[in-house]
Amino acid sequence: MLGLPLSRTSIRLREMSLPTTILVSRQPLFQKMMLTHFRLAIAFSLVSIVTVRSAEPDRQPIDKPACLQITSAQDSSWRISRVWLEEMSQPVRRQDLSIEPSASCAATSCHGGPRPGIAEPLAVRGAEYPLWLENDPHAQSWRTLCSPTSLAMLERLNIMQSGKLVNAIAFDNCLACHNSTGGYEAASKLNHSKLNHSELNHSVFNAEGVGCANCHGRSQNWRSDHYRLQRDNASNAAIGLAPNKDLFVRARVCAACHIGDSDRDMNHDIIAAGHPALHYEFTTFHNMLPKHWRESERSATPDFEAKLWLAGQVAALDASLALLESRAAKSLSVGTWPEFAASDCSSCHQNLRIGARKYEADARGSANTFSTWNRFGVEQLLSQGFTQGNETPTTQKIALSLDHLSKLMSAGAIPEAAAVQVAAHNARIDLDAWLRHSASPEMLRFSASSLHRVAAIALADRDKLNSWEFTAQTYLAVIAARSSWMNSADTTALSDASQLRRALLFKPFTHSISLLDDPKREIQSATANLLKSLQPTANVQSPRDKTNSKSLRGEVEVLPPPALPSFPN
Amino acid sequence: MSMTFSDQELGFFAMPKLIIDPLYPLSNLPKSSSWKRVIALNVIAINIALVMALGTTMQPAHCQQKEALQSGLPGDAVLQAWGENSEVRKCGICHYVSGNAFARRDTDFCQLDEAQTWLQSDKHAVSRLRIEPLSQIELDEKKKEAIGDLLGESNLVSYRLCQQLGYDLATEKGYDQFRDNCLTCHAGYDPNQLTASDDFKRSNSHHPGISCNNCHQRGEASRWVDLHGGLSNDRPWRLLSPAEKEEAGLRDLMDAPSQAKLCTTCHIGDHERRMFITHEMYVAGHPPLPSFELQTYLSTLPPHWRNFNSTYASLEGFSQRAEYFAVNLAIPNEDIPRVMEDTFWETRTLLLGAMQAAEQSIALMADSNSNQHWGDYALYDCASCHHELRLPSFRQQRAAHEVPGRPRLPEWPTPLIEVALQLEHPASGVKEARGNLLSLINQTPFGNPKDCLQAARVLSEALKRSSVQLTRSSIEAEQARQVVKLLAHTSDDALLDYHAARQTIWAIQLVDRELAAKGHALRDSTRAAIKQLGTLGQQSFVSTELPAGRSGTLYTPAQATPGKEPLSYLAAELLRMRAYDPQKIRTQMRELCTQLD
Repeated sequence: MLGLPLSRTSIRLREMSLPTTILVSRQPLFQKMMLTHFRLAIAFSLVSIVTVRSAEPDRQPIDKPACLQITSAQDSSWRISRVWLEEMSQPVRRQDLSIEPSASCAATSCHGGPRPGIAEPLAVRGAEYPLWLENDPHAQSWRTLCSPTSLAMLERLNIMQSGKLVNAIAFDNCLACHNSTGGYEAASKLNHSKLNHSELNHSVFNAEGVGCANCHGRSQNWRSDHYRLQRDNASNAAIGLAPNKDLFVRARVCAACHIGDSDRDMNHDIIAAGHPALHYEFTTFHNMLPKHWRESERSATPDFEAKLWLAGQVAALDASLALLESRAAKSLSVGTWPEFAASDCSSCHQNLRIGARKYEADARGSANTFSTWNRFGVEQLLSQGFTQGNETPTTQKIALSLDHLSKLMSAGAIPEAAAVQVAAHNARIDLDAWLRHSASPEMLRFSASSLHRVAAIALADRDKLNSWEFTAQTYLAVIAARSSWMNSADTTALSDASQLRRALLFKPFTHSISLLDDPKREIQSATANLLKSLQPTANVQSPRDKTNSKSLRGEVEVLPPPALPSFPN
Repeated sequence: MSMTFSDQELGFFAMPKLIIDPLYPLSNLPKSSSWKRVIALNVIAINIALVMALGTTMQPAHCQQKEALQSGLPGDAVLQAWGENSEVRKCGICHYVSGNAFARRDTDFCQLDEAQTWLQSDKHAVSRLRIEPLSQIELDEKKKEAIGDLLGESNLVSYRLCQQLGYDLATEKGYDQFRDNCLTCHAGYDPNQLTASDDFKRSNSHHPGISCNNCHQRGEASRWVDLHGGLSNDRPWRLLSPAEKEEAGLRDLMDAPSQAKLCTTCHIGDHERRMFITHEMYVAGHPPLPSFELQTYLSTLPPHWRNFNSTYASLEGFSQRAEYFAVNLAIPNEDIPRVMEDTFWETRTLLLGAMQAAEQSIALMADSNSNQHWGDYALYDCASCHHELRLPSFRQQRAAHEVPGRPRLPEWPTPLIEVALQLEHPASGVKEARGNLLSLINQTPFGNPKDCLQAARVLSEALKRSSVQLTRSSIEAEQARQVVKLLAHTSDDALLDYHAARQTIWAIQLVDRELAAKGHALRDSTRAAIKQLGTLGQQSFVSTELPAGRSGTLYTPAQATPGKEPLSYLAAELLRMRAYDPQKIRTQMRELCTQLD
């Protein structure tokens, strides 16, 4: 088992009344867009035909393949290594996918059975296919791509002109996430007779959208025996079956589309044409996804959501680094660079106003800000001394690598692509090493109260709370840790969290010239209140943390003073 | 700020009313008529005597003025500061008088109150004072009181800006950084000229803005100063070509292209003279540089010169009037009366200014390549990034041949350029060059520097050619009406930008006014539609107002509406930019189109 141990001794989480909906953008008038976003976002997520056997806990410690790392001391040099997360998510690489519709999994005796509870309640196989087909937005992702909204985007991007498909390569990039084909070329090879370049032919592409193969891997290699043979995760990954029982792998598989990967790139051109920007947070997405598997893992794992959060943050960073590396590499030949989608949207997309100031106090601000969304979790863990007492060189390395990359990306209007490529590549290797060598023991112990503390410290970081990305991620961390703070007697935290959520959503933009209200003010008071109500419980529940005063990057107040005097502009 | 001053307050500016052409050089005297030479020599002799006599009275007056300041008497601190600037003082000897009978003899060409208008009513005269970082204005309370409302928000903005950019204003070196990056535009500091650099020292406040010579003198050649003045009209200087005058050091500002060239160095930028507002400066607080429309800006200054029509009228008695205009406008003598009568000068300035503005912004981009400013966001349209994200978005209505999501070249020159290009015959290749540059910029964000540089140069050359062609074209009533029509038919795409819409409205209003003034007024219903276009006000979120005069600044609160906090011009403008809705303008434009058809 390559991940988090599942335990039978479970603490069932209370039914949560707090909405876990994440807002998708800081921008007002984005409510409509958010709805679209969620439809798309969820449409990308897991489609699993996991057998119910998955509930069987696997108590093996983290067991990750040995790393073939040839490390050089030079930061700018190219290091060669296999990255565990990449290996585990190999089965969903595009070139490995085939046009094999999900219906092939849907035999009644396999995954197309009757609904649970109707018959055979104890069967290990079940109704994954019908559950997915009926409930899961991923089953609609092809329809999404064929909707008038999407067709208008395709026209804006010059992929279609007057209804005719004119740019197959660019269209291929859309198929990467909205369909389970190996790509446009693969489709055309298989369907010479059917493929008509002038239209989106439903019979050529899997009209179902994100099918089984997108999340579980190519089935040719294991279709005939996966119900008979027990393989370990590494072997499964090697033959093309993604070991999604491991939360890290699961989070990384989702991230391949929901963030991007070396073979999937939803870039700024596409966003400008109307596609929602991607803001992936695994806990939220996991909670919202209609499950086609039995969710006994939730009750079997203590602090399940905190662990989802951790896995999601690590996977997000890995996927975003892979994406950045490939973007930088492509820029050296043909691609677009700089890639604005790697930046914080709001660092550029803000109205000009008097007294505005960039929120990075040290940045002079001639360039845009490298997005912190996918770095948030790992950077918080590193700066808060997550692996304190365990400060191996790998811990320092990943911290330095991320710093270095961040500096490169913020160095000017056009970051140096070659340097970014190497830095992202190396950061990925460092993340992998950190994950396998330093962080593992801490991660096994990671609980809701650990996350509670992480969130409380983030809430006290007044400078960074100026960024919508940082604040929204902090809010989501608070929510993922709610089993810690919602048990406390102080229930004001709940209303404070709701207030913050409302503030982060903003009010819709109205065409009123008197609109001078700064929505930040509301966020400011909400974060201050939330911090106050979270602190006592964070204090009580993290006795170990009280001794923690050192972090990788110097002194960090464990629990900062409750009052937040002012919200920086 | 229209104040009147007693002679005592004005100090030396009021003194030299009687000085007439004291330095008229002998070498320029017409050699053919010896009797004239005798008279001229006599005049010079009298002049010299007068100067010597006045010199004695001048000194005490100057001292008196200083004493007045020291004793706290109210005075115009700007005039006092300029009064200590020797160059401006020299100009003021002739150009700071008005209504003087003796001096009126030479006012066929100019009004002789130019310096007065400039120093008292033009904001350029205080452009350094406005941004002098507050802590550096080491003034005593009395002087501060005298400067009064000339110090304010903009000085604080400038102070913070210097802090953000890391200029240590406490040191001479820090101030020099401020000088090198800010005073090039704000006080005419020229890093290539050394003679006047004392004016821009930290302790020197005798150059509180743009001086006469900052605009009128080219380089360091000052021969023109002695050559250009004089009482009599029929002197060889008058009939020198603009190029010859430039050689003597007088910058040619006669016709629109050269005027536009001068204004756009600051108002758009010029790397050669270190006039470039980087994005870093904007982030540190510099207000966004607004779109530039030459004729509108010139008439807002206020102008301190006569336009072609009124100069032509005032020179009626001048025997070489036709030659004078012929040499300055490069057209045959015999055409002059008709051209002067029929040409729509303001419309012409509008179009030529637009061509020059476009050329300047392309040139700025082309030069950025070699100046390590390539990819500086300041070179691109602010609104292409700085807008609220929303759906539906009017920005997604753009033509499909453009890649969405890329920084765009400034859009505001487009509508006027399109109109100007419709008038040119034959085509100068601007369209093709522009299309080529845009497609290169579409290839990858910011474009490939090498290709874009090449394409920008080609475009810049084409714009130059086109500008020259346009100078020679006749812009008369027929063309003016056509301009209005073309502007009203501005494409929907070109109106997606706030500043582009503002340029279009300015242009329509301007041509409409000129048509009316020249007796070719459009129909009343059309004029009403045009008027409505300008007075849509809050409804359209486009304002055509500019803060005018020496007291008008971006930070001066506009008139407060009851119950609302008064907004400064800049705050209101930023709100308008934010709330701009192209659909409203389009509707109004369509209404105008139906009126015109």
